[in-house]
Amino acid sequence: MFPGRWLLALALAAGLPLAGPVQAAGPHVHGIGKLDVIAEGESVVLRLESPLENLVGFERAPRTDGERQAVRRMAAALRAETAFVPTREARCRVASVKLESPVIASELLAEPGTKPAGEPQAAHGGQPTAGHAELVGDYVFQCANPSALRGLEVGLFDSLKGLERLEVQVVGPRGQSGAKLTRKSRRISW
Amino acid sequence: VTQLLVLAIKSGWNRRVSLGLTLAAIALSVALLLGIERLRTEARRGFAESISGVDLVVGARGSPLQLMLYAVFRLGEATNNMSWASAEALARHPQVAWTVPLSLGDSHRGFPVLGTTGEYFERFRYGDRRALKLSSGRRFEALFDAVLGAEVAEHLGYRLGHHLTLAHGSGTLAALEHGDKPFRVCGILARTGTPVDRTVHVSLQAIEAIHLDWQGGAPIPGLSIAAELVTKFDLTPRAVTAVLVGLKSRAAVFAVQRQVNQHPGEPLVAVLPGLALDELWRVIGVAERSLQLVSAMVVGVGLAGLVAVIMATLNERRRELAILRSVGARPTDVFLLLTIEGAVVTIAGASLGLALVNASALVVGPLAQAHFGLALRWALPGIGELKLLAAVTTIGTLASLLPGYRAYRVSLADGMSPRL
Repeated sequence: MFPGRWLLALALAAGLPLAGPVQAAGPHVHGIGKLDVIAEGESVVLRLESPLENLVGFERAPRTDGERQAVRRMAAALRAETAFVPTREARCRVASVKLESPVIASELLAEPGTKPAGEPQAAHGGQPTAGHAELVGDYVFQCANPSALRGLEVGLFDSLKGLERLEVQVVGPRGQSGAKLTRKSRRISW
Repeated sequence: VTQLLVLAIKSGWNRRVSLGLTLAAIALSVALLLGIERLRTEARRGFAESISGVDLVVGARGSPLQLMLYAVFRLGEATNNMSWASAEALARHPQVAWTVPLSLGDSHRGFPVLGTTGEYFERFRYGDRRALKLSSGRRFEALFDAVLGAEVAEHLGYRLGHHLTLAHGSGTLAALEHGDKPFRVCGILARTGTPVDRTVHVSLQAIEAIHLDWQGGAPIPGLSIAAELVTKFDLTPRAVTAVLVGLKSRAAVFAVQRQVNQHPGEPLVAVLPGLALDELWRVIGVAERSLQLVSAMVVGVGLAGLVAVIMATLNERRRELAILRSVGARPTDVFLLLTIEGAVVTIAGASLGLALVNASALVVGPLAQAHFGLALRWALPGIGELKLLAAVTTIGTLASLLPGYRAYRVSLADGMSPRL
């Protein structure tokens, strides 16, 4: 009953790579973002990790007004209600969104009209490896009807043209699953 | 219609050889289609049921899938070991509820030997969170105790108290036996249908003990530590293959995964088993789909053969059809007669194919189980198989409309007025 070597042989014969990059520690590939989803009880917790390149087109502190505008646009896109939409019937509301990047000042990433709490972050303080830098977004949703929660639709692809693929890891009520989302398939279910 | 059915069968009986061969072709092709579907679902179920209730599998940095395949399914290439210090650090992590270390590498007559802790028997879950059960005996307590999986005990005919020696590595080199330190069977596990059945379980300390007088993968010449004396040594394991991890809160899984992946001491990888399986399905999916496609095409060929045979006999049957018409059969009846003939052959072929799959599962099943650990069972068709059967019979019946229509057109006048 346990899987046969034949399956493995088949996979190998088909010339398919067995090494999945999905869980490798911190790969930085332009075009590809990573999304971790935890659906437990009434809450859905998301963590988006993406090279900044996918989101604003550069991976350093913004230097011109145009680049600062681009960062603000990105922050607005990431905070938009359509960015991540859990099953509508579950009536989920965004409880918090936190965007962070080691190379971008937190004021630029904060919600417009609010002062970010805490000390102003050193914009150039992080340690981007080999000239690369990422952005991490932490999202928390609270759902009024969690029993209807079956999945999540990602609308980010519309607003962020540099994002081509999202490697998704889900821990849901029925266990762990994985998926790759693209512009064409933007829905994960669990 | 019942009369037509009887008529169709009786008429078909007159052409039993050609129809019988077509029937055999359809039956074989359907058996192939169903057999592949069954292999596919059984293999998936086997994989999915082999591990349950484990949040993370941690091992040395490498391919997550390779780690899963080796540590959990005992398939594929061996992975690097991780240090015992890392395993202990992991066990002390505040978010970690339990850990079960796994140490692989030795074997007994082709069956893998797993070194682990007693907690394995409490924490390991398979299928729908079912725990391991001993069918006889007890867990290992003494140093050289071994607990056998059901398949190992059955295949080798071992009972409680039986003595066995472990082979170093895969067991092909007879010289590398741990012959000086025999194990005693202290327990036999109930059958699980997972790789556990094919595994010999011993304690981590025992694995360490049999390698005490070994170095660099071979016995140290001139040095032999007697089995009675090994307890005098420090039997703390130095390395393990992988660690199964259960977390206090499932929600912490990604945080712990990140921490493990960035473990400062040594490069580690934390794998979410469910995800690694999804990855595996994606990899295997391509091969599966091509197999399915090929078998579907074989069924297509079978059905095309059926239509061809019925069409080909139309000419020989002009007289038969004419007689039917002369005794009052309407052209629609002729149409139905031929369609029914095709449908009956298809349905009979599909049923025969199903029977064939089950029969071969009975015959080949035990062999596949022993050689590949793949269970092929006599079983009622699953939803996937039923869908395939329905598709085959529908397509077969629809295809039979063709000779029916042809006969309908022809029999309007043909044969009633013999041309001289």
